[in-house]
Amino acid sequence: MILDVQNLSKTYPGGVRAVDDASFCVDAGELVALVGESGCGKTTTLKCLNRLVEPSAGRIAFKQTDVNAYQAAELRRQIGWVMQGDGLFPHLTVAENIAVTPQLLKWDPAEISVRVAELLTLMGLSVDDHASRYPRDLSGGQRQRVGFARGLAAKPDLLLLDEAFGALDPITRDRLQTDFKTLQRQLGFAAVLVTHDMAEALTLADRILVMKDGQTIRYGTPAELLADPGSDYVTTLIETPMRQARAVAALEGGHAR
Amino acid sequence: MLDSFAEPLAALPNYLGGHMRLSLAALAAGLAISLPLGIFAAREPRLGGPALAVASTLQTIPSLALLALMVPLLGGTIGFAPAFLALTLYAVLPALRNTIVGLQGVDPVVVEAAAGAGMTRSQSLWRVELPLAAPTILAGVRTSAVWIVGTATLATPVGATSLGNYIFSGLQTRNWTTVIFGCVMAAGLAIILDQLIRGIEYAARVRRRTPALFAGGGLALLIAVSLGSSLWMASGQGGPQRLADSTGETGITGQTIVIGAKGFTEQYILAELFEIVLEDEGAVVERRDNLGSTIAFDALVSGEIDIYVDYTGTLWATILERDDPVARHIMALETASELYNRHGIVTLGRLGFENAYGFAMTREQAESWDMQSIDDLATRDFSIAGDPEFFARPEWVRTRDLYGLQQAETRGMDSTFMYGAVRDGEVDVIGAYTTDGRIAAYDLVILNDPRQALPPYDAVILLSPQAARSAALAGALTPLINAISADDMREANRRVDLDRQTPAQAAEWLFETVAN
Repeated sequence: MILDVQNLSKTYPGGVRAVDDASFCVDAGELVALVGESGCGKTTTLKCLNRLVEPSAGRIAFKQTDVNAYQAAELRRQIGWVMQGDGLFPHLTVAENIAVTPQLLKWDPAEISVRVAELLTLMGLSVDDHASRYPRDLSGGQRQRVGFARGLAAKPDLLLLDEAFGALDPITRDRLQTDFKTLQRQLGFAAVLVTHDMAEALTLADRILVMKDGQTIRYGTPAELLADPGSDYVTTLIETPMRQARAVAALEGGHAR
Repeated sequence: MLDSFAEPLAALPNYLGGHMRLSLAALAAGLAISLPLGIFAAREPRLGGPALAVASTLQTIPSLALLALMVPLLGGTIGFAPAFLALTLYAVLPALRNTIVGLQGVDPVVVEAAAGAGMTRSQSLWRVELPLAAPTILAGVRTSAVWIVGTATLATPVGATSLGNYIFSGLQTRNWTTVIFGCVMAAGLAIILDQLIRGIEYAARVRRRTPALFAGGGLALLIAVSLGSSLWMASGQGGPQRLADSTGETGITGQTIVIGAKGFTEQYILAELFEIVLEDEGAVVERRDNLGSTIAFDALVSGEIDIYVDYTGTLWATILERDDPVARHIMALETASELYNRHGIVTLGRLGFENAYGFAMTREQAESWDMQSIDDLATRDFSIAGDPEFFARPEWVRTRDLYGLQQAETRGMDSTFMYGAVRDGEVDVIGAYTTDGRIAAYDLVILNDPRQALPPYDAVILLSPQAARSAALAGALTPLINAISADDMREANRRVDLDRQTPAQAAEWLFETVAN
């Protein structure tokens, strides 16, 4: 098991209970999605996993070892991190952005440049065109691909995705989601994906944890959730994208007639 | 024209070198304080607020006052140390503020990305936050640099050699060529330094080697030149010794004597005169010109300078803190004994002339108003100009009250300008220096003082406690005692202020006159 989260809680100073008793686990090669509306505690949960946020209670084990047994920086070098809106370093080139974590891990420079080229190719970006450019010279989709490449650069066993597809236009998002799914199958890393988009969770995840006001509402596979939402809230989350799809289909039908 | 440039140019290596050493040292020290403090304060808001408040408060102190305050704070030390300290404090604010603002302005998302990628706090600081804040920080460094280079011109009155020496002596002797020369050199230095730092910033941003080499090389050259000129100065002096205890037999040959001078023509001429006399005896003379009035006295007490000329009335009021009127010879005696008892300072003797304050007006105006004495002013509305010190002195208060001059409109201005102001009718009366050459040249008359409100101002030679032990030094200067009449002094001043001679030329003339 790559990640085991037991009874995780986070209470912020002032008494706001952002996460209340969340438990889930991620096996090698699996993707678990944390789904909910803004402020439901899903991003806080994610940040607890690489200790960007210190939990108030609960236990998190990464590769069978409590995360508190690692130096925080050491832990983060072993866990990939992809942010919404890429979070690239504006003063570093694409290649330098991707090389950050391998450099912190003191990889051999030759090894790093091979890895950078490999990742750019994997992300569908040509090395000659992109490696020495700055983030400001790239499109949003290209930047997000570089963000993925940076998260994967040090060959992590676990990748954390914080609304990683959230800031993209629908066409770019769909293409990147498809490419990501392929990549994950190919490389076999485990991932935790934070998203407010149930359709994204249903298509990408092996298991889904639905959160509302810090509480876990439902935890199961996409098939289980579709068969038995278990609450009106989950039903609404699942129904919303489907209703939109039906509305679009109806429009197409209207045109046909 | 060539001639008028020759003298300023000869002093350039000394003045420019001093200015650069002072500016670069203060900038380096200021940055050594403000950059680490700013980095720390950006992360600890509890420290950031107070640090900025202190730096801002320092900034509100007028720069000249901050410089002057450093002298008593350092126990009367003049020269490089107080100027360096004041300028360092002055340099802190812009760099500190921009470091805090620059670091706090870095996008928190990028800082989180750095943490998420596995950077420690210091790695995040050095690899991400400082590079991103660098343009803002360097803009603050540039502001600090320009402020320091500009403010360093004000280091002259505390005895530090700088391009301000051109400006201060030029203002006093009304040698505008020298003033402009000093301003242009200081401005040029500020622009060069600013552009070099800008070049480094540009090189860092585009991360190219060529501009970095240019800017770095330029800065290195600037540092090398300033250090080089100081070495050149030191080698030129050949390791002189400061004045030691001596009897008449050992003499002052080869010993270094530091002559101080306040910032006006007469003082420059007398310092030059001492230089002529002492160099004749084989001494090595160093000069500290343009010292502030009380700064010169403090420097004498601490032994930073060995000798300078002051005036009994000034000492009476500012050092003895007396304001009661006494006769000329009694004031000289009491002042001498007090200075010796309190500070060990020896009054070698009176030079023979008085440079008192006198109420002067144009002959034309005096005749049309039918004025002979200050008494006659009481009945009129009039305006009076004086140096800013004058209206703060007790004798002005006493004169005003004794003669009933409450209606007077007072205007403080630099002594350089007040003679022209009264000549041109901008003011009716001035608090003139009675030895000023312009009194005769502008046909001014000095009103009688029947109530003896204005105290005597005998020029006296003062020796520091250390210098006073040298019988040879005292012996060398004795021929000057009671040797200079008010007319002689006035003529020497006139040669500088009106004939555009250098103080050295006027001193040469005075030396010949005294010798004969």
